Amino acid sequence: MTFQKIERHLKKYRTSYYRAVPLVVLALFLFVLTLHSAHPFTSAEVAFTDAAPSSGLAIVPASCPSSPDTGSCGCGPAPTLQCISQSGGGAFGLGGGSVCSGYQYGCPSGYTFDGNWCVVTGSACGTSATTCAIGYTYDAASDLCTFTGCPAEYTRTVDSSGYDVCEITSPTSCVPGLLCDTDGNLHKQSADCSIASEPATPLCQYGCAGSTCNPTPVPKVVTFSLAPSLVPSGKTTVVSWNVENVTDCTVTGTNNPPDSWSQPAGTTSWSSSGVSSSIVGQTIYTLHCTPIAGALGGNGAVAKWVDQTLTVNIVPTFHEQ
Amino acid sequence: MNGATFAIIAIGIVLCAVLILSVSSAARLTIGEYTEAADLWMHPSAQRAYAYGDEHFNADDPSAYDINSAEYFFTIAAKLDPSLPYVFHELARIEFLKGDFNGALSYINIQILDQGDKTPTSYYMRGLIEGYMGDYADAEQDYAHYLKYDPIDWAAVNDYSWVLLKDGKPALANAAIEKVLQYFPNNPWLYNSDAIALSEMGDATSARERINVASQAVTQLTAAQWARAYPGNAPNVAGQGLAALKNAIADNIHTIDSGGHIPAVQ
Repeated sequence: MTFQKIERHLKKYRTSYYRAVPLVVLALFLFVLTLHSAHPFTSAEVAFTDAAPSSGLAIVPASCPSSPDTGSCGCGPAPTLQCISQSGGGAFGLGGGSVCSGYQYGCPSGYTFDGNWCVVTGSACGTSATTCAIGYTYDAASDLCTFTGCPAEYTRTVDSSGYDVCEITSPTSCVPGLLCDTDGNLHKQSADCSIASEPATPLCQYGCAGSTCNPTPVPKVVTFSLAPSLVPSGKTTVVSWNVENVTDCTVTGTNNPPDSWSQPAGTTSWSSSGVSSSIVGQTIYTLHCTPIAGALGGNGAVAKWVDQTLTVNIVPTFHEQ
Repeated sequence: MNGATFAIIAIGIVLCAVLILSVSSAARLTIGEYTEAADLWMHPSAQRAYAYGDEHFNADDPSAYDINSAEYFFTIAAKLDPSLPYVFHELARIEFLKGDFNGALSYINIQILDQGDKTPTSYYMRGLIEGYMGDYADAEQDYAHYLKYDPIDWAAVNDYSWVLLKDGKPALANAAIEKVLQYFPNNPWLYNSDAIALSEMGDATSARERINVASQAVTQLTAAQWARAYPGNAPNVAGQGLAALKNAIADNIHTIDSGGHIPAVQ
């Protein structure tokens, strides 16, 4: 059939009729689509129940892990313990030393608890960054914070919901005695654990730790040196020293006239140096000090000072015979 | 415009309409989805096809949800790239929802053959299909396999208990549920299943306690929550599903409270 034949055929009809053909087709098309969308799909599992073998009770399976998009996350992962509220205003935060008013089953980071289960709110599905409360350890396999015990300085308690909570141990009674305070002195502590504002006497001269003053420090020679230790006759050398926890120190030489330096009065450490006088023969320099009164040695006896010595020698000279 | 021209246009429209409707009758695409189909025709891409399928299989978006369109696009994706991780899994889900369990089983077997433990939820899916087909022994194995990956998945535990109950193992069903019940204090499915397990074990007192919890919990359940437990279903049937769950629990309460058994109905 050619177009001329089609045209002749169509001319048999009035123009208004065949102009309506596209409109009719379009209407038909839209009608089919309407029919298509008018019947919502109902799957085999909607309203499905299965009868138990002997009792006939209605078992109702679910199917949410079937979706790879949501997996078990979309169904709601196992709830974990969460703060109901905490100091500082941030709700549902855990750890970090925050003080919780209580706990409830909640959701890990990235989920929102909708009253029945956790719903994914972010992209954390399967990669939970859960921070567990103190005393709880995160178990990736179960996606749960499980109680594993309180640290040493915490005490295990059970909150009103029956959950384990670790709280910082706060003693209610103390053994009366002395306690080292922040001022480096001992203060009296009463049976009710209150601490006296004034330090106990005698004061701790060298600070304190626990319930006792630190002991008097023993002498310590940090450095004692000569430079140079070999000099031409008539030349000089430099003597250097640094000593701590001592009094009445002197550095003396055996040259003539002898070199001599003394520790300033009232000090317990001394760091200094001195240029010797002319040295014309072997010279020995001696560092002599006195331990601070009360210092004890390793054996518990009164500490004793041991003199430190250094020797300067003269560069040999050779004469032709 | 003369008559001949108009006739040609009319015939062209008729032919297009016939073509569209013929495709529509097979895939039943909507107008908006033809754009996506045209896009795929011009630029074939398995990933894009899968994404279109995913878009129409999303119950969270009622305007886009269309299980037939989803099947159409997933099928294209599977033809273009059969190695896409979940493509046969999704086709299995669709056949399952349509009630074609044999077709669903064929697809999920291909999926597991190809991907194995890389897609553990496929074992859950196969367990679900087998459960609906009455193959409880195989379903038990597949659910148990999936639970190794996610032991505290309430729906998997619930469905595992279902096939155990059907297989005459109420004690195992009860044990499986009791392990996770503490984590889901308001889950009506779990409490309902546990009540049935206890009833089957002859412990009517505990069964009554459990079914009462289920009864309380289901009153708090919304259609949206129900829909999340049955992904892939049309959003507008959620109310129907929720009502069925409530009715089932109500019937169970009546049966347990009366101390009698209703005849087993398959």
